[in-house]
Amino acid sequence: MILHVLPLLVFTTFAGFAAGAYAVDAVCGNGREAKTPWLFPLVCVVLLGIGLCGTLAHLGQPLRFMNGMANPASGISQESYWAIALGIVIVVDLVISWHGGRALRQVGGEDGCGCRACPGVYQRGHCPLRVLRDGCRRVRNSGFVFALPPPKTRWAARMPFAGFCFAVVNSRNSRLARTRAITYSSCHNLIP
Amino acid sequence: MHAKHFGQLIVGKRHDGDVLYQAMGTFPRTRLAFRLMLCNHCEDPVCVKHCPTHAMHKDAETGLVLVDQDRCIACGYCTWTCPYGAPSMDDVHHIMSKCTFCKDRISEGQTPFCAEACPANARVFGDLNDPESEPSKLLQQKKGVQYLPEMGTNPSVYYV
Repeated sequence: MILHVLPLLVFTTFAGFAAGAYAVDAVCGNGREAKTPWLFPLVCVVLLGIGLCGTLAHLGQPLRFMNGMANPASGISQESYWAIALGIVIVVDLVISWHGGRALRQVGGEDGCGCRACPGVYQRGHCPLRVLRDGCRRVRNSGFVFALPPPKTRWAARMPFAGFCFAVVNSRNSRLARTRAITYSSCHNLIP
Repeated sequence: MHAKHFGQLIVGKRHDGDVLYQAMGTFPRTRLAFRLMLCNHCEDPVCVKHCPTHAMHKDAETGLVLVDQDRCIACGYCTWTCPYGAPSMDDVHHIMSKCTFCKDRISEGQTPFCAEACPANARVFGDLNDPESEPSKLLQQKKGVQYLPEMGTNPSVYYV
């Protein structure tokens, strides 16, 4: 049974790693400058790639994987959209970081919570990304989202793991599995 | 086009639970109940809603829930979401497969093999939209119940 769901586990784990690490680094990174800024997006894109390979391994007909994005109402299709969008962001970030530009890392994390603290900074008339970034920092500094100790500490370094756990627990498949476990007996589909 | 609504009526008590066989009654009047694993061809099938490829679809003409095996990617999502465990993976061809109510037979005016072969005539098949059909008459005479109606899929199989 575990072998049957292993590819899905690979996808959920590694894609969750990439998404969680990326989002939490965007929120908690506090603009720290790394010596090799391209390394983080490179690791994330590798993790996401491994996860997507797990998805293909899960499919009985992997060559038809494009069909899997036909129904926007389906959870699997939605996961595909988000995984592709995340992959594009990471690749763009990787390219920009490689050429020494400013990373896009904060975009992904800021669009989620930055707007919650934006009304005040809108008056400053900055560009939207800067507004989002400032808003995100306000949220973070107020401790509203993560109630974190200061960045650049051991806690901050471990937050990608927390983000990974959050992503795994809230992934669509995981929620569906929990719903099934609550609603039906787990042996429901094991009857030959 | 008005879609037909083929349904099947199972004569006998429905038993709850997810086991295939279940002991019912009290000693000495006990018996072994059998739960059918056929597709319920729901009015609002959750497998169709969650199929990422639209391979699982509801036929507009007959109302049957069918799988287009040329589109299916065999992700198994329909088996996760179906409350009745109807879709099953064909491990040989790596494709999803399910009960079709023998659509080729019913298009020729015949009944599905399961209804045809049942020695006790415990399965009755027909158009539920036709008040003169055998299952409609049985449903009028006896109270038919659906399996897991709380799932909101409005299955087309009734137990009397």
